[in-house]
Amino acid sequence: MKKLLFLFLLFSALSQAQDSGLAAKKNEFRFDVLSLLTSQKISVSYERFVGNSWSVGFNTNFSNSSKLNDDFDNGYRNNVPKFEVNPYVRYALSKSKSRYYFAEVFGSYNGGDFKEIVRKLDENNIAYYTTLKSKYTDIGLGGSLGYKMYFNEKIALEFIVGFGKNLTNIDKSPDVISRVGLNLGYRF
Amino acid sequence: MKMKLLKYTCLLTIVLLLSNCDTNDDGFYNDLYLETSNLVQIQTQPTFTVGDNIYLNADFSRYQTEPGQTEPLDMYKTTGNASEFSFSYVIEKEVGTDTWEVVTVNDSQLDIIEGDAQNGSFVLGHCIYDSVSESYKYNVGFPLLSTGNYRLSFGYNSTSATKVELRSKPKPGKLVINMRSQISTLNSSGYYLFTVTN
Repeated sequence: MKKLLFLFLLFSALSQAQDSGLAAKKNEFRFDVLSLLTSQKISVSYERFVGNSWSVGFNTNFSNSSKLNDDFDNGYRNNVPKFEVNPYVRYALSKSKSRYYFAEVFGSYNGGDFKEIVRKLDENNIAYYTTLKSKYTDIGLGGSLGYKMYFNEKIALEFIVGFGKNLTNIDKSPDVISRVGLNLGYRF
Repeated sequence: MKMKLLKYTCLLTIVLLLSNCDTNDDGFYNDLYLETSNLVQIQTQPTFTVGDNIYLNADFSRYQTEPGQTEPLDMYKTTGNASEFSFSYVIEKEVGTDTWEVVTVNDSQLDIIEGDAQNGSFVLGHCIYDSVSESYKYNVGFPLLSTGNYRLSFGYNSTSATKVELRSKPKPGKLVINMRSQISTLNSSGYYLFTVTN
């Protein structure tokens, strides 16, 4: 019983020590491992901890998925996202600074390739249809939920799931934008 | 109290955003649809006897008129030089009052004059491109092996009973043309009814 009480007190002390250590570190960079492995997407994030459970930051990613490109070329989709810049505001839902759930609202400036069918005339005034590729950009808004934990007061592991909607150019851009990732980060 | 309110506001915002998620990013974006008429003809006869074939034929140019357009459409160029258009039809025999059974024969029993065809639960016909005449051609006879009342229809793979759908053979990265063509010899229910006698 004494041993259990000792371990409990030790764990609490360590946890509080880690919390106070983390509170002093205001910046964090992260790299999304999941997106790179599954979607051939390079995704990096920065987060600034502003206190009172709030933080702000941005995520930026670039994608060149061969599967999406093949689907695009073969007509299974009419757009293929290439980049996103997602500023966000995040709120920690748990009291612990070292392991906590969070919710965030994010904006998105995103773009990529778009394809449409157009009718053209050849030199003999005969019509034919072909596909015409162009670029699109759009602005979206969404929300996410996630869980974050720290090791050694500096290494972050974060899981996030979020969805949003594009708002201004949905004839060309994807309706849905997603923010799903497994991030490894460094807090300093 | 304020913190709890913030938490619930955040969660509610996220739930609302997620619940509105929908996508227009699926589907098939290389398909074109055209409306035409009488691209496929049934070779009707006043009477059929056992041993006759019922023939279907098609002979349509690569250049087709489009509703609302003055210039002809080059289907061959649009589809990346599609070698064929395919369509399907079903031949059934009456085996009881208002009871019909699909008639099947071996592919070798089909009389293929132009184009190609396979028979299973329906006949899959292929209108093959002829570079000399610059047209797609099909002329295939289906053997009538016994007496009785028969009906022929195109509705098996079509969205309309009185139209046949012809689809160009897809090529990777190229457009696919789907033509819906009215067939004048069908009744309002989409059947050509005929009788085979001895």
